[in-house]
Amino acid sequence: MALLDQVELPKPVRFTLNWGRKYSLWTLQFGLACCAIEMAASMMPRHDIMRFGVIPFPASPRQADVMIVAGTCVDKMIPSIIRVWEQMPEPKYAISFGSCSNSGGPYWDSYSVAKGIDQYLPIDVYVPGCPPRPEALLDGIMKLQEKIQHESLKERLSV
Amino acid sequence: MSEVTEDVQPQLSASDSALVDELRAALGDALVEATTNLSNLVVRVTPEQRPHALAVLKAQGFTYYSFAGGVDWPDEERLEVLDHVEDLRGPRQVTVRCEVPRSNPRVPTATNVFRGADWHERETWELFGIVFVGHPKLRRLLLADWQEGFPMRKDEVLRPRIEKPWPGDFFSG
Repeated sequence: MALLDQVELPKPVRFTLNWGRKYSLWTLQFGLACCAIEMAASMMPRHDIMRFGVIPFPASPRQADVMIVAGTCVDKMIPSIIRVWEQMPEPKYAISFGSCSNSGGPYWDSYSVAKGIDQYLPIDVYVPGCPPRPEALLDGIMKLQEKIQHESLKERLSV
Repeated sequence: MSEVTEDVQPQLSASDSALVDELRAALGDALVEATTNLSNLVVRVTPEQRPHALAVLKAQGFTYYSFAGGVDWPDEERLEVLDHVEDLRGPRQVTVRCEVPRSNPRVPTATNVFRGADWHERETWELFGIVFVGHPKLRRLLLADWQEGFPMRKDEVLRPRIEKPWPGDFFSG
């Protein structure tokens, strides 16, 4: 990655590199509540998220490209989420799955729930729903792949 | 349809009456009142006698400390501590209530009687601010360490409700 943040790659190389990256998304599952059930369902044979190139079970955050925060993030959990996020190598992406992690959801006036994980992490894709169906997560993954395909690694890494 | 009936106090069952007699013998005037709620005995005692009342109940077979809770009555300037003990042979349940002033909510701990009351009292403390005097380690159990205030008190301000009022008049406050 020494040069990637300084040199804009030629278009064909960029296309190929991004095409390869978008179909190899090692996904860290940060399942926190009932949304995690739907996230698990999307990884089971019926919806089979692996056909999109998502590899759902990395051995550690250090191997992961995407983090899916699924469920209610309480204030006490936030330091752990940030810690895991910071262990992931660049380029990394975050999906906020479900109303609770998007905005607090039904717990918007709770004393203990964070009002949206995007206060703490740079979220790339928001998946709405309470909980969202597995198809919604598949759609979110496709949105993320679109984003990765049209992304410039120079811009991403030089920030 | 029917006439307005007076609020009749339900009769205590025979076993509950025996239990109340037992408590009255041990506590005397500290037993303020004994009622039933959904066929469970509810006794109100003075705060100072809370551990004693629980000890008497424990000796009577109520060996399972189910939970402690609290109620906030801001209009009457008092907080209430509720202890729920169960006799697993029955099963029978008894609730022990005691009231403390809101300005100085202090009540003796029951951890000497039931070791399992430890976490319940910590939870009640962090949610209601009721201080359990003599508790071995009264610190936060469930909430984050940087949480401020006692969130279950009714005058506790929820910031999102100020920024965006509740949509509708139900639960406005």
